[in-house]
Amino acid sequence: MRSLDRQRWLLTASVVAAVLVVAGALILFAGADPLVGLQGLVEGVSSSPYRVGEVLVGAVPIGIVALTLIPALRAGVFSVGAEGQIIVGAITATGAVFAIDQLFGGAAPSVVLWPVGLLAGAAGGGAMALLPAFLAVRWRVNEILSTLLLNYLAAGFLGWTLRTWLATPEETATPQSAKLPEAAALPALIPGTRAHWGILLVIVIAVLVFLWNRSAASTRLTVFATRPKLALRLGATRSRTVYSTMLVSGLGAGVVGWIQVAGVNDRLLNSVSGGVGFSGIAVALLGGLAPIGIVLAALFFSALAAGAVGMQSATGTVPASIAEVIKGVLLIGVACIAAYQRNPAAVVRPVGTKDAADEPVVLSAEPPGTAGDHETTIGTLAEAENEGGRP
Amino acid sequence: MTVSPQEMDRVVEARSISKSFGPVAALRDVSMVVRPGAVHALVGENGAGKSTLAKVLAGIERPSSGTMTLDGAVYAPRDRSEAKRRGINMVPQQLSLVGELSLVENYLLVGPRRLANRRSARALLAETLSRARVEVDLDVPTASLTQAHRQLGEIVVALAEGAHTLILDEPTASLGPLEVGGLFEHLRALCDLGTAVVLITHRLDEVRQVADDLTVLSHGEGVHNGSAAGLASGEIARLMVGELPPPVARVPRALGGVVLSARGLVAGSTRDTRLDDVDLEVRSGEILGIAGVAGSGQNLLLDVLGGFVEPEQGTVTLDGGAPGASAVALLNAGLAWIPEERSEALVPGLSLRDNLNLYSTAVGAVSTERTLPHITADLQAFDVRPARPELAAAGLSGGNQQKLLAARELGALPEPRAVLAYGPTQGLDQRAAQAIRGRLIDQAAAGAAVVVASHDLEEVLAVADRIVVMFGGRVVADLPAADATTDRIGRAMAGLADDTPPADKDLP
Repeated sequence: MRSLDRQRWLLTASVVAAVLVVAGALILFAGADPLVGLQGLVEGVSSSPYRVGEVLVGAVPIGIVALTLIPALRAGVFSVGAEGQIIVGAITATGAVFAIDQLFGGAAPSVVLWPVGLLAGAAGGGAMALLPAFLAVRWRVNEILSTLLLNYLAAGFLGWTLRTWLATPEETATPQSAKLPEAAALPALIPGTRAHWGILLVIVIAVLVFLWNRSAASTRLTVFATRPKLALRLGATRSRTVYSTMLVSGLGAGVVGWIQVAGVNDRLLNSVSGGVGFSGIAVALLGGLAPIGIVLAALFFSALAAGAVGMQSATGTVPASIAEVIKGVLLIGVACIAAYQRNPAAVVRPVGTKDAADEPVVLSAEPPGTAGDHETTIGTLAEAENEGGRP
Repeated sequence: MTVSPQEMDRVVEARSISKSFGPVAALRDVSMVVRPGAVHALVGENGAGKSTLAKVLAGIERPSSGTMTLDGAVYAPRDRSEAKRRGINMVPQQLSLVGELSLVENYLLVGPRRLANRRSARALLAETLSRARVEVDLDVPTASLTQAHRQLGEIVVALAEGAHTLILDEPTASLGPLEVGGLFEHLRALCDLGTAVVLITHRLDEVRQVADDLTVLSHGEGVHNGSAAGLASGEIARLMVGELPPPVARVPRALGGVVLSARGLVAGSTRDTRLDDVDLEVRSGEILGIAGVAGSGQNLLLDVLGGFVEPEQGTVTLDGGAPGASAVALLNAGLAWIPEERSEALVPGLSLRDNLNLYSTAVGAVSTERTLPHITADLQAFDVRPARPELAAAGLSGGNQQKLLAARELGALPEPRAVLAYGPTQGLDQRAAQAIRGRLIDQAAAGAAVVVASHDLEEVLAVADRIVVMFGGRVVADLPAADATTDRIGRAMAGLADDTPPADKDLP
């Protein structure tokens, strides 16, 4: 296990190195000094408390999505539906907050509106996740496909929602909901910044995941991913595993939907998910499915986005969208790590070989280039076929 | 056809080969001469260095010291493809076929370009198959074949690839008697044309049956090197292991009530023959052997008994419990499980300790987590080497993984009520196999109902009190061990009804 871990960290380190090289090359290409760019990036995330706060605000949704994806990814259930689940969670949270506020005559206290938003968001996201889980269990519909496509459905539903039953009465350029009641908003954790109390929720979830990681249920999911029969023996049936892991990720994404509305935007916007769902998958894998790694990776992702703006103003020539390119390189690297996570043996050594300490690996795949040399011996074999065996 | 002088000269000679992995010396000063046109058996216990020596020959490992010559010229292959180019090819024990591709497609991947044509490749493979007198479906993905058929396919592809020296690492480990016979016939045919075959094996009867030359390794040293003729099995065994443990004594056990019963099972699977109305009863204290050629339905039957596959008709009951219990319910009721492919039951990335403790993570677990001293004791009791609890299971050799699996199912599980084992001693040397058999008998003596299935008849005969034979998904014979002569069982395995001449029946 330890040597496998070392391999994984090596892989992660090389991904990070590749990112640095590509980023440096791009900055040079844009006609700027990479060191100046780096300085701008660092200043962009640390020069004022507000900027630090922005990094934290950006890291919260990514972190929650990534943390709650751990069980699914550990079990090999590859759900990419967080985007849609965030949207549905945001819609249900917003709708519920308005409805309850109305019930209290427009003066509902925070103590009511916060849990209502949290629970409604979680319920919306969870329900959105159970649909592909049901399809996967009942008809074996590939969960990658169904969750991906349901994201578009959710986006369409959000657009319709913002033009109809949740639309703001004001005249606005873009479709959006009315502003949430003051009492529903998450207060700032650090004064003078947008960093809200949702940060504490990330820590709570990270600790819960850390504890869960050592539980029997976590082991069962690991077994489920690669050893279906053994998993059955441990009680991890397909339906139980798919439903529970997808539900957890859906609940997390739904909560993120609520947090983005109540903590960041104060209203439901068309851009509520903003790619956070996909970043969450990347961050979960980059963080090695470990809580601490994920929190760090989420901060890194968020800082990259915030810092790129600083880089743009420092160099003047490097566009802030360099962050997207860097994320792209990261995602490719993460895909390699994902392949490794799914089946370490496939990357480190060929599957099925006898991988003993005293009997090292047989590489089974041969390059086809050596083919022609066998022609004479093939002839021998063909003759052997005709000659017949020893009686 | 006679052997040409060139072919006669194709001698592979290894002199004073040593190989160390870190501080571990796997081979010490071993010499070996592989003659063309002969089958050279390479035997030894688990970890004696057979595979390492074979890998040195095949260019997969480089020796730490020593020299090799091929046809008098220096032979020091840098890698496997160089060895292949020079005509030395090894078929690994574990499968290297691409599961998604058929055998024909697998062959097209590695075969010569001249034959990069589906039809001619298929024709060549089909011909190779018919010589070996086995039937393997050439056109379905190899993953859907049974293990025996995949192993066989692997050998067929390697044969078709062509090599003057063919190294087979335990090719017969998962083959039935008829298939082994067919394979050996094919090997002899190749030998007659000057091909050299190095056969790594555990089965001493195979040495007598097919080998011309013999090298015996013991703890990395060559203890016999020469002709195989005139050596009795017992003598070879003594060379290999020093001294054999006494055979398992047959102590009659008192049989109790029925513990495991199956009624009217009908089930289907893509990996095995359909079960067609199978009834089975195993009593407390009884060891039931299930014999049959590979792919006769034994695997599927064990899957149904273990709760992994739900039968279309019929029921399974364990210890008077509710019929149709789930796999986890059966585990918690005390069902031990050793599947044909040990990889199904072990998690390579987890440590030996976590693998042994795995059942404490089951839903509603009855097993509790064992402490480190217990784990160490378990590993030692089953002779798992190295007995390091924190080592990942992937770090063990195949034989030691098998011992680890046995340690969990037969040692760590609290009082099994029933044991399902398919080929529990596969890949083990005599001593380790004997130890596992002893454990199975101990479990029976403690009141468990034990089922041992295998396509290796010896494995079944070694422990079973009663033997049922499966053929084509049905139970075709049910005999007490005393009446189970090799002849009667062999006929039943071939699908021949008892006491009818084998005239017009087709062999499987």
